[in-house]
Amino acid sequence: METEERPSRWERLRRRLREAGRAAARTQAAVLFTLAYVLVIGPASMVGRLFGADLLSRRRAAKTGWLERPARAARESLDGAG
Amino acid sequence: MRILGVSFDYHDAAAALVVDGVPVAAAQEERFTRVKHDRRLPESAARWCLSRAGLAFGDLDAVVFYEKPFRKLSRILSNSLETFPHSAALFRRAAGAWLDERLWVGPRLERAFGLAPGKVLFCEHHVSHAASAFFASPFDEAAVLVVDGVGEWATASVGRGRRGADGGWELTLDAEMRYPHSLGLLYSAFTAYLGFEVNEGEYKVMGLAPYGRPRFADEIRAMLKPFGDGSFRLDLDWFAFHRDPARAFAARFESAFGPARAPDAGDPAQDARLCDVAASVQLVCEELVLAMAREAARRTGSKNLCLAGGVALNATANGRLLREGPFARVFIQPAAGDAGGALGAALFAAHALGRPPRWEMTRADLGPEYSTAEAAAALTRAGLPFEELHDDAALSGRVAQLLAAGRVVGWHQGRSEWGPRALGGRSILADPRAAEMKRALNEKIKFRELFRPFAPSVAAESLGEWFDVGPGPTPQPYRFMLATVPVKAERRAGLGAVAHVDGSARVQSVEKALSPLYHRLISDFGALTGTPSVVNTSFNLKGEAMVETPDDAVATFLASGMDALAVGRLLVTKRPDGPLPGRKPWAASATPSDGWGW
Repeated sequence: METEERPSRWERLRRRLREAGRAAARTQAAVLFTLAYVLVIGPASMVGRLFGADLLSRRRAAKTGWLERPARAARESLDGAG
Repeated sequence: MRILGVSFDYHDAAAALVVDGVPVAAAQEERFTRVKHDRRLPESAARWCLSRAGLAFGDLDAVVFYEKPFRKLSRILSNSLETFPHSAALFRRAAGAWLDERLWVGPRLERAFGLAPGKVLFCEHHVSHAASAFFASPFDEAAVLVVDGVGEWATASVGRGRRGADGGWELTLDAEMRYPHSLGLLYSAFTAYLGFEVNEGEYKVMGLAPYGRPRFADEIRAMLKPFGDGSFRLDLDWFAFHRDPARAFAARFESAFGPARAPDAGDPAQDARLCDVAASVQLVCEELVLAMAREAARRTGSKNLCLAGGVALNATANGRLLREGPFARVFIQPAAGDAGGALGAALFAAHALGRPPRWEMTRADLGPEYSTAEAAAALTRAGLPFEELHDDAALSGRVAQLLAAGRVVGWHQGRSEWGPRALGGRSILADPRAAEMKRALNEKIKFRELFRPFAPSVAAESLGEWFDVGPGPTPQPYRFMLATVPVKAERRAGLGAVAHVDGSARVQSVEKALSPLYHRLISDFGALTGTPSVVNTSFNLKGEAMVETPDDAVATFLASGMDALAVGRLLVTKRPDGPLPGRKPWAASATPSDGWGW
């Protein structure tokens, strides 16, 4: 019967270090994104509200939910990711 | 002109190859990776599409992504600004996904496929959906309606397709509803409330609805402000999908409808309240689809409609649209969800960059096929004894006899289907006459919820004898199992396994000219039993992607309680000795983290 070879001590250490690195990266990303949320999104949101921005069309008085789309040439519409 | 369309990064990644305006190959990545709803860049599907056509990536004129990533990012940032400070968790998750991969679609495609710079184009999400319907339809002019959860910003779009002044074909979207005001997201919020997985369990809500009464419909109508022209706004106080990555609905939901169902709770069909909620949201969904369709008719004056987007897979709403809507003819893209965006993006680019002839989608078998030698090798590897039938007549005759004797047969034939429906290429077939068959299939074969209905395939010429399809030519959606229809009252007892509790069925009309072998099988079964119809359910187990290769078919056959397996003309009628398998551990599934379109 085939038996699975037990990883060496060095290999186990490397795996643990790799897992710890990933966990650290996740934590670091969470901290950075939270900071970005508080320091960038927060103030921008406040400024927007000060000027009455309604980015999700929640408060705007309207007679329809349809927004007319500007005409675009088919070929040009394919250019660019935005 | 050779154009590859691709969709990925959200759910249901897919690739479709269009050569001179004609799709020659299209497949979802999940069929190759076996990861249900696989959303990763569809390398396997794309490579298979090119190999099918004998092309290399360097031969392509363009690769078209099915949406505009930066425009989508602008929506996500706007959402974060508007919902601050309640959306920190959602922002963290979205920012990670976007910085990691979604911002770099162009470079990722260039690197994966070795493309020269400038070969990657981007088609708007709803334009991709619209093109997948109009450029596959038989119409010279048509209204176009797209309804889904959300693309970049659009959640529903109306427009038109027609012949242009220069002789080419034009597709324009004239107006759109925008996030967060979305019928797809409304329906998905209820899908989550009812304990089903978003982007997967919507079918279950639709299947659960006929067990209930729509007594909560007024409460659901009160969640939105309709404008009388098919458009509406959602009252976001009822929802959480715009600020919470793990929750779709606000606490008010549970005050109005009672406690949400836990995903692992028991049979929801036994709980009248949950059935009533499902019936209510289904009714409101149908009303809104009809209202949007009327608006599309008013704007265009057309009698033809092309429909796409995830909501276009709601077969019950489609059935009402066919019966009560303002259009004489309706075409629905069989892959109406995001996978279909790959085909639509390629078709749109083909018509934008050149002047190819129109192509009509009469068949959905755009996927891979396998030789008898490959099938024999798979069966031999599994140690399954098989016999080779000498022609189609012998095969259909034998399988019809097995079905008439109450056997359940795995049916793996020809090219695999494009879209979520099995249409006789990768199907599990059974006798539709007795109601007990439904329970047996759900319990012993598919291992899925007992309340879920099964669909019938019926010979096209017999459709009107068994179903209330009305006068005139058979609507196209029945060809691709995209709409429900009432079973004639006097026939319901004879279709016990496929007539749902409300007497409806999501029927597939099988035409001899388009599916000769499958039509022959149904006819042979009809000759034996007097019922020219079979149960047709997708060849997979709950939680798994549909089978693709003969090896997949063999593995699923062995893991379920099927009695026989036909792979091409090779027929297996004996299972290995030993007990029938019980519940199978569910296969890997894509993480449902992107249910809300961020």
